[in-house]
Amino acid sequence: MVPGTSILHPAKGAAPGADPITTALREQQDLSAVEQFAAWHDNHATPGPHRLYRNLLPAAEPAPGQQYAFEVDLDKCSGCKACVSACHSLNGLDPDETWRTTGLLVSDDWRHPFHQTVTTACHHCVDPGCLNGCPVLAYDKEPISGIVRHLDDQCIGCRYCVMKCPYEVPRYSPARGIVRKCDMCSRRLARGEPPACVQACPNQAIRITLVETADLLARHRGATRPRAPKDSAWLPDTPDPALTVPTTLYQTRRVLPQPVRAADRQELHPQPAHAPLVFMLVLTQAATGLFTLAPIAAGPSGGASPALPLGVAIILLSAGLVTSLFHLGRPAGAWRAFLGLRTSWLSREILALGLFALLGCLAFLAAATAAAALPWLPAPAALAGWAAVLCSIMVYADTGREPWRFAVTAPKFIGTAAMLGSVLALALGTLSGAPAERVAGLCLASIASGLFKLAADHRPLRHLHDDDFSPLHKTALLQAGRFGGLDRTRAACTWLGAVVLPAWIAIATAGAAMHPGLPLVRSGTLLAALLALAGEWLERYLFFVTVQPRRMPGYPAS
Amino acid sequence: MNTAQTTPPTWLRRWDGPLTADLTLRPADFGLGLVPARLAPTATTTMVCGYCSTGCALKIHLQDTQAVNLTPDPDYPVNLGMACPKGWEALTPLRAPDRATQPLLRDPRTGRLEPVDWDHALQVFTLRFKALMDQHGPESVAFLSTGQICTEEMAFLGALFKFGMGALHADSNTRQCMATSAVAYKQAFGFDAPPYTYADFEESDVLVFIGSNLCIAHPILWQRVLRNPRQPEIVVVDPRTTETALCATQHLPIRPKTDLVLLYGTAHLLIANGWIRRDFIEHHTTGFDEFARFVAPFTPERVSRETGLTIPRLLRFARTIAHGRAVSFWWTMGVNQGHESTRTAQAIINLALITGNIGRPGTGPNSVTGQCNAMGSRLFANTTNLLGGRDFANPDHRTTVARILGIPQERIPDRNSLTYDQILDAIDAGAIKGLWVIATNPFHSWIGRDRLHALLDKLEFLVVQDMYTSTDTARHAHLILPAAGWGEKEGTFINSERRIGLVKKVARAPGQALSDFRIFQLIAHYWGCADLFRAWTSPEAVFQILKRLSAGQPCDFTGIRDYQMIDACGGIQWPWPEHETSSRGLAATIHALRTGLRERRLFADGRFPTPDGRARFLFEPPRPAPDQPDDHHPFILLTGRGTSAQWHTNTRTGKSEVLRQLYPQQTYVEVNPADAARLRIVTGQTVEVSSRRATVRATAVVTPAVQPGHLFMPMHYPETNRLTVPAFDPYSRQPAYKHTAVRLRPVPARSHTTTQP
Repeated sequence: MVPGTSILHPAKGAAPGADPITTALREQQDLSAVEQFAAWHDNHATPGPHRLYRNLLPAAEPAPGQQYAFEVDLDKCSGCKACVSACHSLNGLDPDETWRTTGLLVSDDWRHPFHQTVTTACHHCVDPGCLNGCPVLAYDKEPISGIVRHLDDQCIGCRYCVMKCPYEVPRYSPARGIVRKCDMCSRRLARGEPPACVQACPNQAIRITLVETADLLARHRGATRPRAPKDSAWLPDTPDPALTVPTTLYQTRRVLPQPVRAADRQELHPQPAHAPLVFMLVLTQAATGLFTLAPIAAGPSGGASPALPLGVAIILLSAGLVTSLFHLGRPAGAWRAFLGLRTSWLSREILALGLFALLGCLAFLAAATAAAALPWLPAPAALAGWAAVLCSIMVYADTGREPWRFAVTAPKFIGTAAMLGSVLALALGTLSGAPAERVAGLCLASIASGLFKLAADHRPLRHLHDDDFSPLHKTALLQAGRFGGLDRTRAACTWLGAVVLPAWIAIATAGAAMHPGLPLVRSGTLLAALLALAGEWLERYLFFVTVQPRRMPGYPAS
Repeated sequence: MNTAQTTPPTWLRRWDGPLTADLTLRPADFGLGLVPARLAPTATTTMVCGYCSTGCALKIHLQDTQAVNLTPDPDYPVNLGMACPKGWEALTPLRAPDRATQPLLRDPRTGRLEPVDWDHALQVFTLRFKALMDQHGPESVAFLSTGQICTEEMAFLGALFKFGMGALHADSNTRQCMATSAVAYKQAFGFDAPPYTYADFEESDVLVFIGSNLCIAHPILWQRVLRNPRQPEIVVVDPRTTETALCATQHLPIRPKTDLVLLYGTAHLLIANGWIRRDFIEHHTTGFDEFARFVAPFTPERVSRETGLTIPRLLRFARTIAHGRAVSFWWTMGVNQGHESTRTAQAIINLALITGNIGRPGTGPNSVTGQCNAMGSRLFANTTNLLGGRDFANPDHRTTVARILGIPQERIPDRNSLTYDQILDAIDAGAIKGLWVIATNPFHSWIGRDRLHALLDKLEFLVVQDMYTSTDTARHAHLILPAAGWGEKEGTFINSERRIGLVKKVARAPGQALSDFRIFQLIAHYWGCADLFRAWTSPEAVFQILKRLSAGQPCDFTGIRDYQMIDACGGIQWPWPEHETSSRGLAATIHALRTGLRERRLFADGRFPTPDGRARFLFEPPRPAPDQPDDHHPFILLTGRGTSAQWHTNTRTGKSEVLRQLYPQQTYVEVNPADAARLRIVTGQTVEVSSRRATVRATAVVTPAVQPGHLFMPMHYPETNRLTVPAFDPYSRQPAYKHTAVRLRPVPARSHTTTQP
């Protein structure tokens, strides 16, 4: 028999008239069998698993001065991570969305091997960074429970809360254009049902407890609080709890071997670049500088109208503001940004920029229409601009991220405004035929502010050899290592644009060797402006991607 | 901070709206609490999970008979309302975009896999396998199967291949996980019978874990340990400081693969100090005197020297066992995957026998199985054992099986199949030319897996039957048969404690994917042997056949009426013979199995299924592990499970975005801080690990969980088994994954950067 002939005539074993493949495919799609089982279970349903876990909830509602908190018994946590999955499934989160995360603490002492899984969700802080930073009041701390709730429909997707939360709790969804976060399953709690993670822990390592907020404030912000973050009374190698006063209690009866560090402490995690913010910050700061120096960049005589530099500044400012809208997940709600004015530097920044734009436009209109030049015309706008620069500095300094602290961010942002203002004023000055002595002055201003800026941008690299994998060390490692090429390009641009070219122009035009109005000089200053601008964009990109915040322990190699 | 004093109007501050509504929870019936409103079930049903052998029950939330969500079943005796992350995410891998949805046949001209219809695929399957068997004989084809499909499907596959198609050589990936336990029990007790029930975790006052990281590999069983009210002594024997070791009251960090020496030394101490149960030994065992003589040279001095443990620690361990009222011994892959694993498992059994720790609550030499249906495979895969835990070489057994199945006895082979490693050897030698791989991934999982690639050229026909077209193995197939997965078909699994649990069809298989059961049925039809399987019409019909095959065997479960009864009882442990049900009546039986008889253990009467009713002592002098370190390969590489969010070769767990956040995405190797400092390695750095077989790159993770001189790599990453060097236990032929000599060096890099963008 030829092998397989029978299959060409599949008579054997087949029911007459029924094609076995068709039958199989049809039966495969039939789910009716499950109904009989389902019916049996529906008739025998018992109360849900939460009946087992009454002891994992506090017996009473929080009294005044108290609030709900997660309590994690580290000794019971065996690292299964069911809490993360259960939270995902029982809250119906998006496929890649998790509100609870886990990480690992390890000891470095091989004679005392130790590692500990740390499960973490929102800490429902006493002084929540997310809430304080939100420009539109999309966070609410419930008065009785203390639960920090996110108002999804109020959120504009600015992601400032992501930067403000030291624990990376709010998760941004590009598809939804908002962040979402843990609400301690408040609706479950309201029914006496434990939160998903509490229900799901096989070892009962997570429970809900009541905490005294005054005690937490004293512990984390009081006079007796530990000074060094590594001696944290809270959890080793984590963000300083003084920032937001997290309420989660991590309990252990063991004596942890020292030192204990986050398992991924030695790893570098580049952060999102936030391109619209990169452009916005640089452009608005350039506009501030230009408004400040506009009178000098104005036409040949002292009485000339500063309409050209002001016009350019307005264009830069508008471009920056428009670009910033692209950062928002839901820009339509951005008009509410004044709501957070009381606590949010982002609200203040937005307001200051708005004021800057308004005063700037008025100044430009006045300059363009006024018959006589009024040298003080740009001054109010410039002041608003500098206020905006200050707010921008504070937006980042207020995150508590060490590489963004005021002493680092302020010289950078002020330097950007001063340097780009000088270089742009120089370019516009030569274009509009400013006198040689003013050009020389602008050259000197460029050189001075350029050198200042170079020093400010080099400053983080001082920590390159700290070798402690602290946030400052890791930021320096990224700036010099993975992003070293970009950083050197940045430095080269600034050197050329703000120092070398202006110096050449200063020398060339000094003693009237060359007239500042010569095409060569004009293209030189234009090139300088473009180079300086490019350098600043690179600097601001690096500012965002290299920042290494102190964070909750994660997993290495992730 | 509180904004209550300045509450803005709702048009200014929106508390509700479509985005808020997305997260609405609502009360569900069926004993569930609040559930996501859009996933609220219209009905629920319970089924066992399809990952590990714990056998947790998951309550599937159905909307119009389709699964939309799940929660662990609070009423099931195994998991008591809990599940690990894999269980919670069990439905997600079914919706993966790389599911196999139609048969794919490799076009010899283009070399690409092209879609074909089932008729064409089955014709090709039959023609090619028949041609090979006609030309080269029935031993020229083989299958490698799995512990992940239903018992009914395993039985169908084994019966179809051996009785229907007339082939001989077949094995499954349970060779990689449970072969050792099966052989060890069979030789010692006369039948492959793990004696325990999970309640034993709660009833011991001493628990000894040997080569088991229960917290990670079986996290839901660790729950049972924590429920133990006796404040038990927990001893963990493991070279690594695992999560479980950190929970232990005694951790014995032995040198890798010195467990056999430790166990013999412990037996020596127990015997020498008279800490044994002479009455039990006399009445229920045979061969004790030889065993006592054999272990006499395993003095504490020698054992200390070889294991690296101090003598006081050895004494304390022995004393702990001696003083325990109920001592249970638990082992997993640390024991099973060794070069002398069968004797090691039996050394554990020996300890239980000499101390009388068997048959009572909280005792037993207990193997915790790996895969969800490894136990089903051990009884009914028809590969190593004839159906029902029988022997191919035994003519009486063949007669019985032929009678029950109603097939001619000469259809049943009278000799054993080659084992997994021997099948690969036979491919290498050109003897086997056709291979059928079902629901397993040897191109990732096999020890020294690069060999599989070398064998590809020698395979004339490779068929892969799988849920996914993307597995390392499927990518090399000549023919891919698209299979339905767990949750898309019916059948039963048998868990570690011998509990038969139900799998149900709660999701539609994508495209033309068919259950393995239907595929085997169609192959029988196309092969022309459907007559033999006329009674094998549905999984439940086959379950009835399996019941008859179990009759009179130690695994007798003839008292289980049908699937409905399994469902009603919350799973039923074997044995449960017919008279147990008929004497009580069905309703009373179900009540008994849901209450007092819910958790049952074996050998309470001290009788073992050996011919003389006594357990055997089996022992043999230890040998050093084959792949010893030297100056070129100074480290010992250990392998094992990485996290509870990963399963084996990650073909399923890799499909869940939630699970992917719970384990490192990069292949990593754990290094002790002392070694890392010496080699100037920091966490996150790329390093090179070389064995005598291969060199791979991995990300270093510095942790004191491994001892100096050891490295650890999880098996879930494809690089790991490129390094392992093939070595096998001589009795179980199980691969020894746990001891490979390797070299470690940092890869020069521009900086300490990780590889992510």
